[in-house]
Amino acid sequence: MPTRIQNATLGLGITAQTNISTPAGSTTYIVVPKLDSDIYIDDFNTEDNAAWIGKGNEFATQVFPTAFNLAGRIEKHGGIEFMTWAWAGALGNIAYATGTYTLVPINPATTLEMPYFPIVLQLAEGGGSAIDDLYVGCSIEEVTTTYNYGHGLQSVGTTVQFAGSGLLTSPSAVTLPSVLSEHNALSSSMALTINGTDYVAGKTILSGVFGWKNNLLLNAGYYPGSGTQSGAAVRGRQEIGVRVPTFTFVARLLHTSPEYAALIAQTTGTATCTLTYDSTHNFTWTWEQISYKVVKRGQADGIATVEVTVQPQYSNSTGILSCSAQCGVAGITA
Amino acid sequence: MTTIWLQPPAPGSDPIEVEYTREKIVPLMVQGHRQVPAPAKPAPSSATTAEPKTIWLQPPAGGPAIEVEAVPDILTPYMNQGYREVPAPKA
Repeated sequence: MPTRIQNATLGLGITAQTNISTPAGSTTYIVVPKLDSDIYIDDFNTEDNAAWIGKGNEFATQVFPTAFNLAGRIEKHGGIEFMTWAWAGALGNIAYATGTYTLVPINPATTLEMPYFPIVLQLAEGGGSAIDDLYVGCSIEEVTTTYNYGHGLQSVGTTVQFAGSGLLTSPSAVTLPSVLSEHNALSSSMALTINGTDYVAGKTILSGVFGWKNNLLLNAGYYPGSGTQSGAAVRGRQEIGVRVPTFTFVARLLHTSPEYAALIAQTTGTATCTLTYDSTHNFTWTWEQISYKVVKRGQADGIATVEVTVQPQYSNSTGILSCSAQCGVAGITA
Repeated sequence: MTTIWLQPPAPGSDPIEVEYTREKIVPLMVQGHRQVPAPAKPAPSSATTAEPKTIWLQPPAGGPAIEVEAVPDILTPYMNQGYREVPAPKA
């Protein structure tokens, strides 16, 4: 019988695999509900011989497996636990002690490979499972956290795009825990200082985006010897490409607004943003050095605004971005 | 003071213990240091903490048993002379 997609259960492995292909049967998972309705499938790709010359017609007579490919999206509100998992996986270098995570982008001089996490998707149906998949070797392609004015959970959102190696274990043989009790931060909890301006104290901040995209070199993951599954190729590595940080914000325009002058002067500074649920559930982004790249004017609800695209810069001592997070989930490791 | 252990990126380097503050660890993580479990502390030497094990040997010609340390260098000469192990005498 049919089943509703609300039955879909998503388990996110929090302990990185030792390598891309090692199934993580003993991994700890967190189970989090999501907003999007995507239910993933490990794409099985093929090619055919339709265009081949010498077989008498233009139709395919043979089909050949090529590669498995998994790509997925997870869209959620501002749960601190998921935010921590997502940014940890996206940045890749993770430290943890006394309930506090420190997250930093990996140094490409030491490795190009991101941590690989297993992801489980299960969908109960008719007393059985319509889907019971363990996707092995998943890494985060992109994470985006947005914040907006207005009330409710919509005021903060985090979206993740991930890519899998193609390795699949089905049935998963994973018993997932119960749904995680999440702590959703609201944008009204925010503290935000950018380039020396406290936008919360000034009551001007309206919305913004923090993002990190790894531009994974997915095609290069299929290399000679990368591995096969059911006669099709799977990836043996997922390396970062040209990473792109994203940082934009919209604030109300005042006669004292400093953004345009800072753009012209190319003033550099730091930016720190904290979302807080409580004293043990919070997330902070620290952009170590920023300047303004684009400043535009607009309006929101008929009130004049300034829209800023920030240019994150790399500091030789402190890098480009570090995140600090506290949440009830221990053991997110790279 | 909370500390963590970080593995430097240079091959063959030993982990270093660092105070867990943002100011201390972020520059190292940016360089590529990664957190690793604290190295296991060496087990205390049994020679310095435990009483030496002894056994009792009965001379081949009879007479009272003697207590000797149960290490090969000491035991072997006695065994070559025909001493044999006996239970410890009752106090």
